[in-house]
Amino acid sequence: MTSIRQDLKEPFADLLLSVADDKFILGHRNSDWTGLAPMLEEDIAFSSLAQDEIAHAKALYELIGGLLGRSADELAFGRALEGYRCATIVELPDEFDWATAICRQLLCNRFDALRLARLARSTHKPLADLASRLAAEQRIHVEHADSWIVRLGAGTEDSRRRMQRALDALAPEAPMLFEPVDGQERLESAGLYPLAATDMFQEWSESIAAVTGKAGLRLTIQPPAAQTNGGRHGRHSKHLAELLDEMCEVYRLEPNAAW
Amino acid sequence: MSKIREHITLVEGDLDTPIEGDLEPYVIFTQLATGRPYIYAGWVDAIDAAMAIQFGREHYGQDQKCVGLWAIPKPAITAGGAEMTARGRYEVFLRAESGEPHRSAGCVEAESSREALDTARRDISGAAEARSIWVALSERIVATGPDDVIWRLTDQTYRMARGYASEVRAKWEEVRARKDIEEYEKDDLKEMF
Repeated sequence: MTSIRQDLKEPFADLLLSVADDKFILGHRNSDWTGLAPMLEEDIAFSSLAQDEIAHAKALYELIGGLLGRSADELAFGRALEGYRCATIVELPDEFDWATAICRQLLCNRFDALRLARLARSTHKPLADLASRLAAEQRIHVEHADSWIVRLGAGTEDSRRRMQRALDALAPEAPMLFEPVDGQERLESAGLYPLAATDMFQEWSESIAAVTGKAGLRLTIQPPAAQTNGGRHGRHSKHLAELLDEMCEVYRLEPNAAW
Repeated sequence: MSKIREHITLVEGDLDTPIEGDLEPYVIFTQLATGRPYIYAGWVDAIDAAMAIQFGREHYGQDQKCVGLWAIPKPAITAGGAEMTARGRYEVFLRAESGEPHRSAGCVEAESSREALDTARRDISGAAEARSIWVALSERIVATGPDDVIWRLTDQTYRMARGYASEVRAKWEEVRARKDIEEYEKDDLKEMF
């Protein structure tokens, strides 16, 4: 199936925007580490992974653009703040604290991996194909974060303390990744975003706990509230507003310019 | 780069124990197609073998299509200097011509690295004429699995110099098609491409 029922178009576009925006904003945040990561090898690796996120976002924006009749650039740079569907956790500046950057990678990448696995089973064939490709690459990101978490969590007293502090600060923010877009249940029952066999939140929190446990870190994580009104509904932190003002500065000068 | 980088106030200072204290050099080999030799690509400093593979993938696996990676701790490779007396299977790498990278050429069973080099010269095709031979105990090699993604599946040609060059070229060609070309073609364009 490649055509979308009219009444499902908007929720479907919202869902895909939430995936693309998470990747786009996280990739942008992580790209700021170029030249600053704790060691040269990691600097190159982390920059490369940030580029992956942006490449994934681009592929998704192109897919959504096809559905909505808009260009990928327009979706990436031409929306108002409330048009973005990313979760707050990707918007936060990491203050160039490596523990924060890496803990965020753990929480977001493992969520993304599960979400892509669901999308890979979508009845919308072009999405399923794209999501399987992205999921295969996503594994690289998951492994990368795991390695650092375990290494630093089980490193010295100093490194463990920093990791614990970063994890404690981010853990309350992470469950909002699960905030559903409007109409998500209809997408689930239509098979566009098929439910996984198990509870996604449980699967996610257990997989995080397995890594933090290995790293000797404490983890307290609560399921998201039943009623939420956050990033998936266009409500964002001031950090995203600042980020977009700067990122979209050039685009806004001449939105129709051909590059 | 964001403006955020102009005023960085670190939350914390450097670690008590610098990260560099844990680093070990690993030599990275890349395989460009299944069944083909593993070719020397360079080395990375890494904390352990798993990270060496991760760094190797980002450093050396993105220049051209690549299906497999090996990471070998540098001290585990010998060209005949210090002898390793470990018994087992040794992987043999040959440099056929000066300037060429070492390539995997097969395995030999030996009691030591010295014996492995001697056996390789006798039994491995091309080894007798090779400019240089390396051997490494096979069990010290850390390899990617058949399902591991190294070369990305999504289009990332923009990451490569040649991807960028081809985009720029396409744009120049558009300009040329619009006929304001003469001066460019004579001077800049020919020099640049």
